[in-house]
Amino acid sequence: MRHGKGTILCVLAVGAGMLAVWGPALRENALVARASYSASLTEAKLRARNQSAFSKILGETRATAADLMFVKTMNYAHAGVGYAPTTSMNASGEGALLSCGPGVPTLIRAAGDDFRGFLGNLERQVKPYRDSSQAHVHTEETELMPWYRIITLSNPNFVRAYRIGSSILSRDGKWDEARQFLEEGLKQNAENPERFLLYHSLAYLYLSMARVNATDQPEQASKYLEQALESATQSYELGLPCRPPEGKSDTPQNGVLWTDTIEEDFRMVSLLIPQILDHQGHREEALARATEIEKTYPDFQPLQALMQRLAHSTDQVGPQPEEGRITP
Amino acid sequence: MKQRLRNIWLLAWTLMLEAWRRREIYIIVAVTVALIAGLRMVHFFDLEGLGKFYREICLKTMNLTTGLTVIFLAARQLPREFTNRTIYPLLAKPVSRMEFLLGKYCGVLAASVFCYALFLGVFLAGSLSLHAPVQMGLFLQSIYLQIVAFAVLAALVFMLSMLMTPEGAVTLALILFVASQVLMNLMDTLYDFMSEPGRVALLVLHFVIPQLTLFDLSSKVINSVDVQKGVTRVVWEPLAAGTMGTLTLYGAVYIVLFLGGAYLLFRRKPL
Amino acid sequence: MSEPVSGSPNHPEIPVNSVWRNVGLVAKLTGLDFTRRHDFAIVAMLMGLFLLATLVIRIIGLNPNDREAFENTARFLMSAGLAFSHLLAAVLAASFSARSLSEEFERRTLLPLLAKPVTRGEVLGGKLLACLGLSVGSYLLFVALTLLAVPTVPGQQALALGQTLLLCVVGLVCLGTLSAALAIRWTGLLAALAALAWYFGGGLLIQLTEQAVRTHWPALWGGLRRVMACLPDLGLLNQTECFATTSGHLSAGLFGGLLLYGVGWSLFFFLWTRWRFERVRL
Repeated sequence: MRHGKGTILCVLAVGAGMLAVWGPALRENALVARASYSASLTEAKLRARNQSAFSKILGETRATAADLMFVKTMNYAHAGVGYAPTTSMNASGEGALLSCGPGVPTLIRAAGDDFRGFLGNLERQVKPYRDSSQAHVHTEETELMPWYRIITLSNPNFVRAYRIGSSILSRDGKWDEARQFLEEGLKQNAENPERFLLYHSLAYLYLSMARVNATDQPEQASKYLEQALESATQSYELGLPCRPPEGKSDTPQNGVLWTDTIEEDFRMVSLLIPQILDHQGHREEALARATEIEKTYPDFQPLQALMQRLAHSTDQVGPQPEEGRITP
Repeated sequence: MKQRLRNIWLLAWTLMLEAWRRREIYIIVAVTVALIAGLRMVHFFDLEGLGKFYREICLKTMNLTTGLTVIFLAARQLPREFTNRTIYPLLAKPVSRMEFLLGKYCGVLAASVFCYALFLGVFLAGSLSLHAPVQMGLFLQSIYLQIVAFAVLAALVFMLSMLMTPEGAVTLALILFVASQVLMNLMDTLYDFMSEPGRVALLVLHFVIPQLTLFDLSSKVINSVDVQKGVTRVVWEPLAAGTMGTLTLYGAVYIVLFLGGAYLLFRRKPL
Repeated sequence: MSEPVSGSPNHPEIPVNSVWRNVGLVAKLTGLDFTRRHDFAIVAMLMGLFLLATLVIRIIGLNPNDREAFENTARFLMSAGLAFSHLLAAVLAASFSARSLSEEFERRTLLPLLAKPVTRGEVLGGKLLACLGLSVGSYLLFVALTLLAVPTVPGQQALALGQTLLLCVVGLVCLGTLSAALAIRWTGLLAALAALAWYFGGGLLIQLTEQAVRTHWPALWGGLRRVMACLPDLGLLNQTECFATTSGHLSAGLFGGLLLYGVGWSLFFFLWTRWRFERVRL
C-alpha cells in the first residue's frame, strides 16, 4: 500500500464517523421498510396464503422469525405436537389454548391416511404425535416465556407476545414482572395502533392485583383499582377509532385488523370501566360512561343489566352499600 | 480377524489424532460449549426451571454442529489421501482397501461421538444445575439414534467423496442434512397434488433418500416431562424396543449400502 | 521471494492497461481452475435442485381460476424462490472466495504465480473477480429460473426487482470479499462459515443486542446504537420481499443509502483483504 498510515486512519475515521451519524437512521429505515412488506398483506390474504402447499410444507403460516417462534410456543403448549395452523390460533394467541380441542388435524399424517407404510409409523412414534380425535395435552405455560422474551426482542411490535407473556407471569404471581413486561411493550409501541390491546391487558392485570390485595392491603388494592380504571379508559379511547362499524372487518382500519377476539376483548374492557366506577361508588359517572358505551354496544346484556341497576340505585337518595363484584 | 480389527483400530486412532490437530474442530466445539454454557447463565424474568427452552437450543445446536463435524471430517478423508499421495505407503502395508475404508469410517465416527460426548457432558451439567429433569430412558435412546444418524451421514459422505470433489460432497451432504428436517414434510405435502406416476415416484424417493429426521428424538426429549405446581409428570415415554430395532435396521441398511458403494468406487479408483 | 516492482532498474514501468490485463488473466486462470476441478459440478448440482423445485411448483399448480388464491400463492412462491436463489448464491460466493486464496497458500502455488510479473494486488483482484463473477452470475441465473417458473402478479414492479437485484449483488460482493479477507489467516472452510454466519446472522445479533441494552440499560442505548451502526449489517441489503409482496419500490433515498452502504463496505473489505494479503509472509 502506497498511502501513508495517517491517510488510511483518516479515511477510516471519516467512514466510521459517517456510519455512526447516518448508520442508525439508515438501519431503522431499512428495517421499517422490510417490516412493512408483510403488513401490506391483509389477514384475508394471509389466510389464503396459509392454505398454499408451501406454507403447509413449512408447517407455519407466516414468514417472519417472530411468527415462527410464536408457532413454536403453540407446539410447546401442546407437548410438542404440531397441529395444522388455523386462523384463530394465529389471530388471537390468548384465546387459542382455551378453544383448542379434538378435531384439529395434526401436521403428521394419521395412520389411516398414510401412504408411507412403515416410515409413516416410525414418524408417528419418533415425533410427538397424538391422533386428532384425542383431547389435547396442555403443558406448563411458564416454559413458553423465553420464547416470548425473544419474540419481543426480535420484533418489539409483536403485541400478542407481550399480552400472553404478562398473562402467564401474573398467573404465576410475578406481578411486577408482568407489569414491567407490558410497560415495556407500551414503550416500544408508542406509535402502534394496536397498543390499546396492551392497555387492555394492563387493566386486567391491575384488576387481578387489586383482588389479591383486597383483604390484606385494602388501600393498595384501591390504588390498583384506580390504575385498572385508567388503563381500561386508555384502552377504550385508543381502540374506539380503530373499531370498524360492524365490529369485524377483513381489512385493517386505522392500522388494526379487527378480529372476533379483539372485538370480544374490547367489549369486555368497555364494560370494565363502568363496573370499576360503580365499585368505587361513582354511580353517576358510571351510568354516564355506560350510556356512552351503549352507543357502541346497544345489545350488550351485561351492560344493560348494569345500567338498569345503576339507574335504579341513583334514583335512591344517599350512599348505597356496594353491590356485586367486578366480573371481567 | 484379530489382525484386521487391529488394522482398523490403528487407522481410526490415527484419524482421531489428526482430527484433534485441526483447528476447525476446536472452534466448532468451543463455540458450541460456550453457547450451551452461556445459555445456562441467561435468566428470563427470574423464572426457574425453564428446561424446555434450554433443552431445545442445546439439543438442536449439538446435533447440528456434530452433523457438520461429521460431514467436514468425512468428506476429506479419502480424497486427501489421494491428493497428498499418502495412500501409497498406507496400502503398501498389509492393509486391505476394505480395512482402510472401515478404519477411516470408524475414525470419523469415533471423532464425532467424542465431540457429541463433550457437548452432552456440558448439557447434562447445565440441566442438573437448572433442576430441569430429563426423561432418562428417552434421552439415552435419542443419543443412540443420533449416533446411528451420524453413522448414516458419514457413510453417505464417504460415498459422495468418491463420486465428486470434496467440496461437492460437502455441499450435497449439507443440503441433504439441513433439508432432512423438512424433506419428509415436503414430500408428504406434495403427494396430495401429484398424479399417479408422480405419486409412485414420490414413494420411491421416500425409500431411496435416507430420512434422517426419523433418528431425531429431540422434539420428544424436549417435551418429555412437564412440571406443573411442583409435580413432575412424564409426557412421552421411551420408544418401544421394536421401534428402536426397526430404526437401527433402517439405519444399518443405508450404512451398508453407502459404505458398499464407497468401497466399490474406492476399489476401482486407480492409484 | 522478490516481486517485480514497477519503476525499478531491472523492470520497466508497467502501463496502467497492463494492470487490467493481468487481473483479467488471473481471473481467467482461476475460472479455468474451477472448470478443470469440476467445481462447476457444484453450481450445476444446485441449479439442478433449483430446476427440480421450480418444476414441482408447476406440478403443484397455481390454480388460475381462483384469482385471489393464485395471486397469494404466486407471491409466496416468488418470495421463496428469490430467498432460495439468494441463499445458494451466498454459499457459492463465500466458499469460492475463501477457497481461491486458502488453497493457493496450502498448495504453495502462490509463489510461482507471484514470480510472474504480477503484483499481489492484481492476483487478489483477479481471483476475486472470477469468484464473484461466478457467484453473481449464478445468482442472476437462479433468479431468472424463478421468474420463469413463477408468474408475476400485478403490483410487482420491474423497478423494485431491479433495485433488489442490485442490492443483493452488492451484498454478495461484500460477502465474497469478507470471506477472502478471513481466508488469508484461517482455513477456507472456517472463513466461509464465519462469513456466512455474519452475513445471515449478524443483523439479528445486532438487533437483539440493541434491544436487550435498550430494555435493561436504557442510558447506554444511544451510544451503543452508534457503535453498532459501525458494524457491517449486510442483511440490510436483502430487500427481495419488497418485490415479492407487491409493496412498491424502495424510495430513492433509501435505495441510494443502501447502495452506498453496500459499496462502501465492499470497498473496505477489498482494501482490508489487499492490505492483509500484501503483508502475509509466504
